[in-house]
Amino acid sequence: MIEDLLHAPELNWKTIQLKRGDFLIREGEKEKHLGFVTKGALRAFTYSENEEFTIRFAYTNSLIAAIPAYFTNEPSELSIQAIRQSTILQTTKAEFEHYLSQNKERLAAYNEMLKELISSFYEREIDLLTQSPAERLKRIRKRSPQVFQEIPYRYIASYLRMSPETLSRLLKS
Amino acid sequence: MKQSELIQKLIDVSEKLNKEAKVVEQFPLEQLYHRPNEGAWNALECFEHLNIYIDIYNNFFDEALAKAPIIMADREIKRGYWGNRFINWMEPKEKGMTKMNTFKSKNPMGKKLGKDVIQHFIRANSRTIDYLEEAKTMDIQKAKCQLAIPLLKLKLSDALCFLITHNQRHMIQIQKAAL
Repeated sequence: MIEDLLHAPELNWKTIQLKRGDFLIREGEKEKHLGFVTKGALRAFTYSENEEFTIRFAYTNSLIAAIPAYFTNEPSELSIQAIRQSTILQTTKAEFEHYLSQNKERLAAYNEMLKELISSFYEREIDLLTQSPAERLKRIRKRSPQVFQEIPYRYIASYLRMSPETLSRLLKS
Repeated sequence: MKQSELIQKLIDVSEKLNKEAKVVEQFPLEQLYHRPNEGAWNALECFEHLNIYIDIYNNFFDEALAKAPIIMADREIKRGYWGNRFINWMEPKEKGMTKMNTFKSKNPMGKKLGKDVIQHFIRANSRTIDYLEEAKTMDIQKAKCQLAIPLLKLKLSDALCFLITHNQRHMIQIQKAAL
């Protein structure tokens, strides 16, 4: 589906360049865009009691949007920030929805994407309920080995709810 | 050499490595499993060895760049004492290379490997290129970078040269092993 999206004449993809630390969206803003990462890496995070929690990563060839704000039109609870310099193609939600409504094949492809997305949320929920740090690491290594090639370990540690020291010890063993 | 020239050179070398990896990826698997002699790595094992190090060093580069000061002037790059020794030691030599031993944990010999290690290499090496791009605006001589060897830090400029020299060294080995 992604290839079709990028070449659809109905969608005006705009290129956005982010430097390390730049935000794609900040907490409290509304999500009006859908993005596609062509280069670099980003993370979605939120604060709880003054501590940052990394919720999700995006890197080359992934779609990106602040969920659930994208679906609800409510202000986003999470922020999305570039981990290193990144290039994003962005289209508006309105344009994307119009594109989808044009034919059944597009909606079917979108459904497939949503199925994957929902499944990934369940995987993530199980991650978070898994007590043992070693087991949490094992799950993500199996599910997305690429994360370890794209994302600095300190953010992976935050994603896995463990200290960077614990992660580096587990990676060595 | 000025900082801007050094970084551009390292980017050019790294992009060439990606191209060479894509060529090797097209080879039939039996060629990639070929051992030039008993006890020597095949091409895929070389890639796996490179991947282990590039992933580690990308993390170090990331940390170094996060703390690096912004560059004020495009200065001449001078190697530090240890940086110079490490880079020279790693450099591919004309008349056969100096034999080196690998730490057991970084030795991929005998692992079951497929062509995905080449994809891994291209992704990891592209991430290094992203860091090199970012490094253009930073003072890479003032920034210090951790090494896989504990307790020693190098100038970021030396650490970047060191990893990329390591990549070049094994790409030569890959090409010899797979041909």
